[in-house]
Amino acid sequence: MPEFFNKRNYLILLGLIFISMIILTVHSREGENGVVHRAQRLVLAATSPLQAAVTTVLQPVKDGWDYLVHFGDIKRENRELRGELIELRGKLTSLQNLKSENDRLRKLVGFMEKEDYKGVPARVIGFPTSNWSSSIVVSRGSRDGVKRNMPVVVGGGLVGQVVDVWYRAAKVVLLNDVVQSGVSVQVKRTGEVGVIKGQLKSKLLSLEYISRDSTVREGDTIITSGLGGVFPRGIYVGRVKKVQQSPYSLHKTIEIATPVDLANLEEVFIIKYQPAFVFSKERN
Amino acid sequence: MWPRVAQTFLVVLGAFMFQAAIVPHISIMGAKPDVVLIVAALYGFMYGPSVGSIAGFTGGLLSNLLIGSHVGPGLLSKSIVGFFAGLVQRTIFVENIVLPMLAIFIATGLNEFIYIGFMFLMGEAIPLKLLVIKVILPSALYNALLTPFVYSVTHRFMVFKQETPSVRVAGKYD
Repeated sequence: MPEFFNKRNYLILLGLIFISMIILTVHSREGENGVVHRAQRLVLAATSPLQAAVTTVLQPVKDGWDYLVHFGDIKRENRELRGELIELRGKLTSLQNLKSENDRLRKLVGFMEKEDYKGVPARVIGFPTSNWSSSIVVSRGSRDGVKRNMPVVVGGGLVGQVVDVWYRAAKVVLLNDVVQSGVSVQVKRTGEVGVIKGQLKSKLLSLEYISRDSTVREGDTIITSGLGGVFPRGIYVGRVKKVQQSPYSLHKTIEIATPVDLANLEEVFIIKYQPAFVFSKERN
Repeated sequence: MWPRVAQTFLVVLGAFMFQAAIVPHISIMGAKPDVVLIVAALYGFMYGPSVGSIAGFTGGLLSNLLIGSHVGPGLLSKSIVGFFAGLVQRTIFVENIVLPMLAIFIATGLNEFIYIGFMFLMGEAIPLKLLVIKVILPSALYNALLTPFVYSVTHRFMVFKQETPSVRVAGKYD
């Protein structure tokens, strides 16, 4: 096999490895307007129309297939949801009464109105293209007022954060991304603050930096903490599914289940929240 | 030379567009094929390590730019896969599709292990056994099964036009 002994081939490989290392270093050190980041935006801009077109064409096929496969489940779920709807209507009426009472009392004691965030609905047009990433492309961009770091929710549950914006599209990193995700959250019952990340071993999220002395338990609600200013406080994230304690660790190993199926998102809601303060890689 | 470079780039670009637009919709049990990797390896099988590694580098660059978390590991892994595919150029004949399928199965494993190595260096916990069962084996199998299809679609675009075949063959065995 003469290719084994061809020095030129090895030089080409070494050259390519060297260039890869340079690109990796430049990408991790440069700011948002650096050359590699701009190239990323260009690739996103070039592929998003095609992704949108393919998704538009294939979504009805996928929906039809899902309908056929899960017909029994859908029928049962529909029955259950009707029951829940009746129950929730009753609760809504009582909550509306409570809200008006709350508003009255707040005015009475001079409390400020709680901020109500506006947002923009977006269609998911691009899905993760590899086994190792969890990011989606959505159909709203800077022309719709979308900016970097804006939180993205579905049905009241946090799903991710905008990381890149183009004119007509934006890239959203989902909560279960192993490399890019990391959200400051709070255990609602105990008030303890930690960080949730994706993990390679499971679809559940990992809640880190919760002390071994914590009383956190299965079923506890997890919300965004608002620390760091990137996400507003109080967005629902999920529930504690599993709590473990290694004898050698200072922190508990906690897994969180989200209410949203992050692998099958079709529409999302981008909250137009301006972060109070964002750590940026931009160099002045 | 430049028409060949342009031709290779266009084929890799086509594979990348397929990867970006179609592949997310054809995942099976969460496993996604890597069409760019298959094309890079096929270039390696057909034209040797240098063409294979350059095709892998180009495809890896485009894929990494789209995924975005780290631009670099994909270039590295796909360049190496294209290179090793080229080293077995004389042993693998793409006309007999079973061997390339097996080689792509192994190449996918190599590609994923290089990526996992990178994740390990980044400080991530690597549940290796789980990843092999849940990600690497299904993806490798999927890629191997997809190879005949990718080859049948792309091979006519991958063949370089030879102006003077007799001179080229003679030069190769000098």
